[in-house]
Amino acid sequence: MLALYGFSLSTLIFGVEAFIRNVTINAGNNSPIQIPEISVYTFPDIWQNLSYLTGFLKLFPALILIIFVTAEYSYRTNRQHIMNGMSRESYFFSQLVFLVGMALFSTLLLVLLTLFLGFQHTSDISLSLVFSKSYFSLAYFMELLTFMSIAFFTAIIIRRSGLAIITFLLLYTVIEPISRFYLPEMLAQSMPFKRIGNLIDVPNTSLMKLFGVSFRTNIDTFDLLFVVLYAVFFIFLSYLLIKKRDL
Amino acid sequence: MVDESILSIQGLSKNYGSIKAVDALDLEIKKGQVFGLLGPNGSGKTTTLSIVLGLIKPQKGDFKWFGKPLTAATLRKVGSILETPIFYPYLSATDNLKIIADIKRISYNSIDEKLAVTGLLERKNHHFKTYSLGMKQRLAIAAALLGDPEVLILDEPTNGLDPQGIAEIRGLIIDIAKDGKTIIIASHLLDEVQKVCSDVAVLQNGKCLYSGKVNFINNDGLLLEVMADKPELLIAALENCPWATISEKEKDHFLVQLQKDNSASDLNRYLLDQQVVLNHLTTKHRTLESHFLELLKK
Repeated sequence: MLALYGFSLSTLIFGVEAFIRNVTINAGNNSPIQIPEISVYTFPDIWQNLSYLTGFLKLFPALILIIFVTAEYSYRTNRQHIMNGMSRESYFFSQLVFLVGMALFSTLLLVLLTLFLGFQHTSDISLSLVFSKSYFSLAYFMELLTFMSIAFFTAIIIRRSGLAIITFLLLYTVIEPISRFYLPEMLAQSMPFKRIGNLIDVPNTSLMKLFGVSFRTNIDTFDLLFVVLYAVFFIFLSYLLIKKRDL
Repeated sequence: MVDESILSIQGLSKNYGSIKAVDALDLEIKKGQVFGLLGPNGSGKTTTLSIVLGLIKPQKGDFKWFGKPLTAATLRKVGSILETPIFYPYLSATDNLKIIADIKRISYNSIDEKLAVTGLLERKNHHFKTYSLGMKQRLAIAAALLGDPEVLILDEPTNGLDPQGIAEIRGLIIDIAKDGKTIIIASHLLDEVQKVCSDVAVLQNGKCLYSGKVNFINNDGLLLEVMADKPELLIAALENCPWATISEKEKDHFLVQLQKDNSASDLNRYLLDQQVVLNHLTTKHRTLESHFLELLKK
């Protein structure tokens, strides 16, 4: 399953280039204004570009995590582990390792692909250029980590795979966005999924430069702080649930 | 000489809503006992075992393992089966047992041995989901035996086994008991407890109705309830009698187990010869079954 995820992730990243190049070329051919062709894959912008794009795929590892965690409840193997002498802390820790491991694996894949594609498409290489915006990969790691820790918590509370997946999807796509409409601005901006999404903002493309629109090209520290706190919060809650609940 | 206490339970209570699964339960299990938890379905046997294994938190009451509160390290020295066998279906028997060996921090050496003892050596590399019910139960028993733990907790161990398998497992339990291990068996099968256990506690609706030795039930000999004006003389007289033993002292009488072919009048005559006069003599029930059913009627 992990192999499938890795494979589909890589395919997608490669595919994106072709897609975007296609779009820009076609647009350039049809429009009266000349659109400068900027490749997605040049250093240092590639860091933000690819981090932003693969951010869309964060659902995959989250769902895999939910399936993994709820499977232990469905098979009741977690019960057997505690009976055999695994402490509840050890059990929690083993689940956490899976979560962090997945986040690390995805980030590593992102970094490798970014480096590979970046070297392919950038004409003049200098070390500072290569690594100048590389902190976006760390932001990606945090984005994944916090996103998955919410999924982790959902899986532990609900314990059944189908229901947990549906609940998580609902939270992400429906419940939070709607509740944001009703809350005052400050509170709405601080809700978990919004903060996670804000970490890596839409990267600037040639099209946008044309219209004079410019997005953020760095990471907001407030976003990062909230994201880290949310991760700690949900992971700690999950720990409490595992420790205290009847099995 | 005080036997070491393996598990002591005081005032344990667990409710599920309005249902009292366990109701102020007191039990004491000592080293070397084969202790039967006997009771009909729903009497609280599995819930009690789940509590002492750290799976369920009780509302009230306390329990101690080896005189100390429960820790994960304690459970690593306990082999247990609870309700149905639980394993990863997509892993083989060997892999599943390896996981358990890792948790218990014991070597993989005893895996093949335990699989052989439960008759699963041929199927050890097949996935668990291909196993029949009886095989799953055997694997659960093999898992409980891994590492030769000091204490075994077996919840309905012969569940799902064919008669041959039942006999094998009972023989296995008796052999293990001979090594001085402590075994706790939960069962609703009276004859199973009778054949295998040394002590028994009878549960119903979460309460303990009776707790004591099993050996007062002897299929062949009579069990008498006696009392004399001078109990010391009674005890002395019985000590010298080869075919009668005192199996228990209850509040105001003794339980005397006779050997086969000895009748109540035999005992009466013998005691009179010894100058002991009884003021109470009743024949008690022969089997655990009638005793058990009688208890449950109350």
